[in-house]
Amino acid sequence: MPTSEKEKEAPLLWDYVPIAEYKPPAAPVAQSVRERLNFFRRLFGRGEKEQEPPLEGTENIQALPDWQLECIAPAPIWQEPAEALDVELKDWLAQEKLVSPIVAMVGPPHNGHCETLTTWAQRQEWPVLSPPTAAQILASDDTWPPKHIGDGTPWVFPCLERAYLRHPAGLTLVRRFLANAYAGNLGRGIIGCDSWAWTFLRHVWRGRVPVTVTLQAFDETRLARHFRKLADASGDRPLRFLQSDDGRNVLPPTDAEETPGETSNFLQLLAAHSRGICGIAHAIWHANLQSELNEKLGGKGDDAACRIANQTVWVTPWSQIVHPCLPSGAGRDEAFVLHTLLLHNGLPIELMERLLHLSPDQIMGTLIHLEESGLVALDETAWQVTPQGYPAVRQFLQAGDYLIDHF
Amino acid sequence: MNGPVDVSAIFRTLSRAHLVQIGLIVIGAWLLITLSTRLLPLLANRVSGRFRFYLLASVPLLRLLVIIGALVLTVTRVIDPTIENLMVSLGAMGLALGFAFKDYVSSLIAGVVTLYEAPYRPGDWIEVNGAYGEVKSIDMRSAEIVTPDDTVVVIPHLKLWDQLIFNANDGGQNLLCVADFYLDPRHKAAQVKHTLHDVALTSAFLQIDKPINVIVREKPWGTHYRLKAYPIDPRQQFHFITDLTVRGKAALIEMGVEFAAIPAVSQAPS
Repeated sequence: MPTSEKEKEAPLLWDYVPIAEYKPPAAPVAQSVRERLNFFRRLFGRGEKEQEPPLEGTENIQALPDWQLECIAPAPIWQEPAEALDVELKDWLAQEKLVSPIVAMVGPPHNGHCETLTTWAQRQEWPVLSPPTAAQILASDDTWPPKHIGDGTPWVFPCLERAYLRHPAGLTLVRRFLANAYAGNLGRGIIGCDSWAWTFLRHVWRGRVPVTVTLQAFDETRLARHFRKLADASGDRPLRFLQSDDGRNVLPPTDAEETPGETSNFLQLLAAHSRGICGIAHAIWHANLQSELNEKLGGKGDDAACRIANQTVWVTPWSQIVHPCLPSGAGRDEAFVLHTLLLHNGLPIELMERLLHLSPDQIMGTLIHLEESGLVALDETAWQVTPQGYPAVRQFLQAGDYLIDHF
Repeated sequence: MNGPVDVSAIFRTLSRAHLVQIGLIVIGAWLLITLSTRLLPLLANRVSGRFRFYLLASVPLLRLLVIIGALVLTVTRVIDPTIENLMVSLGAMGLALGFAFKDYVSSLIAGVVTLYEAPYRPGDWIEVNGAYGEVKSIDMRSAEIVTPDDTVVVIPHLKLWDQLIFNANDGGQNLLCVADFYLDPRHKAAQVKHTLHDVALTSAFLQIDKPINVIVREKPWGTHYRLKAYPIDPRQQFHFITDLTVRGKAALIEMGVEFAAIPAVSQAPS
């Protein structure tokens, strides 16, 4: 089939859809059964099954250096999703008399909703509304949003999760803002929000639900296209991505390849594990690319820096990837800290001390414990749930009946 | 007319093989009961949510099934299981037990009724005769509860017949907690009600899908607020009430609301 026809049939890579149409990728049945078995193993205190020893020949494989990884699997450029958002919002932007003055864009953590909206606003030359400070939120400062918002200029507020705190004094400002925005008092605007904060705020503010769009989940097909696109941009010849245990293709072979071979279900498992969240899938992909030890790789700054000998990148088999998991004995304190971090999409420790009933020592101890398990990390000043740790954290909170997002 | 039945005639002559079988049945039943009594609560403590309640509730039910199974297997080895034989042996046994262990047997029967009617299950928070605590186990004769002060109270199932049993969560996770606030009457009640609602809404312990209610009642000494909400886990009820009280007080002080002070009782005229 010619490539152009293939592309026509393939789903859009960045596709914004109404929130009800979001479909997280399903895991293969065998994997679901394995996860259930692991659950029962943990129940009986036996933990995960021991990893199988690496297969013969894989000892010559090593992780790729960071600079080379940046060529093969660079961080997403938010220009493309911003263009896709343009398409989704075309009708709304064309409306002269607005049915709904506000459009909300909701996305799970690590899905880049904030970056996409900021990029989109720059393209459209719409002003980006800065979030209020913690002091402004707690004082429900009525100088936020600034007066010029609502003077007729459309605006973008990319991170609604930064406009509230789960504190008795931390909800008034966001209620007032949402009430004003949806009443049309602030004119036309787009609000971006993290999915966890959005779920919580639906309990805080019971107003009319606005038009809400979200980025469609990255299933196996989308991930394959996304990773292929990123890798192809790194050189003139397409790279082969092979599983390091059996040499099966991880990314579907390109038309140019002479011996296409069999494709593994790595991407299907990755899509299901990451719940279709692009940033999480990318982080796991990024951490598991390898090359052969004796290959002469180009040096940094070299013209052919991104070239890989044999054009082959080895990918760690799914069964050998070690995913972060909750430390044994994780209980209420861990759940409170992780839940609070997710509801605010990351928080500095000073604010966590104000929001949680735990002592500063308990919070710090819990954070360090979770950091050692690879579940949280300090990003400049704010603690965040890591992309690799997110699936385990979500599962943990869901099992404990905590409020979780719908993604 | 039939003559008197010779009770001894209904029993089989027990061979050594029969005795060994009965012994094995008793040991097997005891092993199964011990294992289920120890293992299931252990597993239940490793999970949370509804699954925990299902596991805990299955302990007495499993024990009853094992005992019934063991009894059936034993009886069929001791007597010929005809209707007449069963009626005679059960009648004789009932007469003997009815006189000697009336209360004990009553508790045993109430124990079976408990499993059917389920007025309390392991994991429930109940109050009987002023004792409040979590049901830890349900044995054949009694239930054991552990109070918040870590005291074990043994409650015979017999109480089921004539006592009021208060069950706070009734086999589920929904246990309503109440935090009380006593305020000086001179304040804006609507604002306080709203603030207390937000205090519950922002608690890390809150089961957010359940309703939050603030009940206000005027008293001679001031205004009584009752903040009602559900914690995620019934075991956290005291932490939850503490959290609501501490943060509620802080929010009310921030608002400048005065707390009620009970006036000194005037001396009665001599």
